[in-house]
Amino acid sequence: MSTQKHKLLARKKTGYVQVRMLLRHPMETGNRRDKVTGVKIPRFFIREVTCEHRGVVVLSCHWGWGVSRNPYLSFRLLSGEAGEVITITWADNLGKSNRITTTIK
Amino acid sequence: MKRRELLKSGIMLSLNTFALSGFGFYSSKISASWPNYIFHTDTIDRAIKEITGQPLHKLQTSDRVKLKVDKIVEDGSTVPVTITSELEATKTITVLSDKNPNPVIARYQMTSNIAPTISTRIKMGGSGSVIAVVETDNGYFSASKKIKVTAGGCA
Repeated sequence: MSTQKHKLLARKKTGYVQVRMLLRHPMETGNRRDKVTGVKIPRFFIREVTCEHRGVVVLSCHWGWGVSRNPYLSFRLLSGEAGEVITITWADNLGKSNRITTTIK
Repeated sequence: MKRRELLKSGIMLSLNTFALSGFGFYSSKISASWPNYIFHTDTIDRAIKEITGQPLHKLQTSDRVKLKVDKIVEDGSTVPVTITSELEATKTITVLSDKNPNPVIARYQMTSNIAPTISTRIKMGGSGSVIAVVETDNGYFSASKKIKVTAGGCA
């Protein structure tokens, strides 16, 4: 899994920083069946997402399998200047984790 | 007998360490507090009870919880939702869908560093309600909207 296909953007606006994130993940519910074999596709989803800015966790999310595949999330950071780094860390239910960083523009 | 057990425990130990080392490099940053039970609840009543400690009919609605979602969506597998809380001291925002096999979709833990507005995309098992539950220092407040899903989506 390269981090290239995940997207994270942070744009400085007046009074806030708009953060937008798009991860690549199948987000399998565990209820779906393979159309050919009829075998259930195992549940596979991102459980936790954490956003850090200036070394502080600003938002932490707990997700279930009801979040759409290739999850999208956007929120507003109340403080933040251009050039500062924003880090998103996530972990799925199989224990794999990953992170993506961006600088505020 | 004892030797057998010792062998077994040895194998288990090595398996355990193997499993642990398989965890991602960044896992230490992620808390182990994922609330397993609320995501596994199978009815909206039970989910609300688990989250708020109160039954669904006692949950207060508030017009200061804004839920923005289209009334009719074509594809239930990606339904864009925006939740804004105008309530003071918003601690968490939880998104639920009453037609899903497991209604709880996501929970967001807010901090004072961000505006209490979250946009995301959710799955819906069929036409039903999207419910946002906002936790503040003064209790729980909710908003809900009925959505018509034209092509069934949740898979």
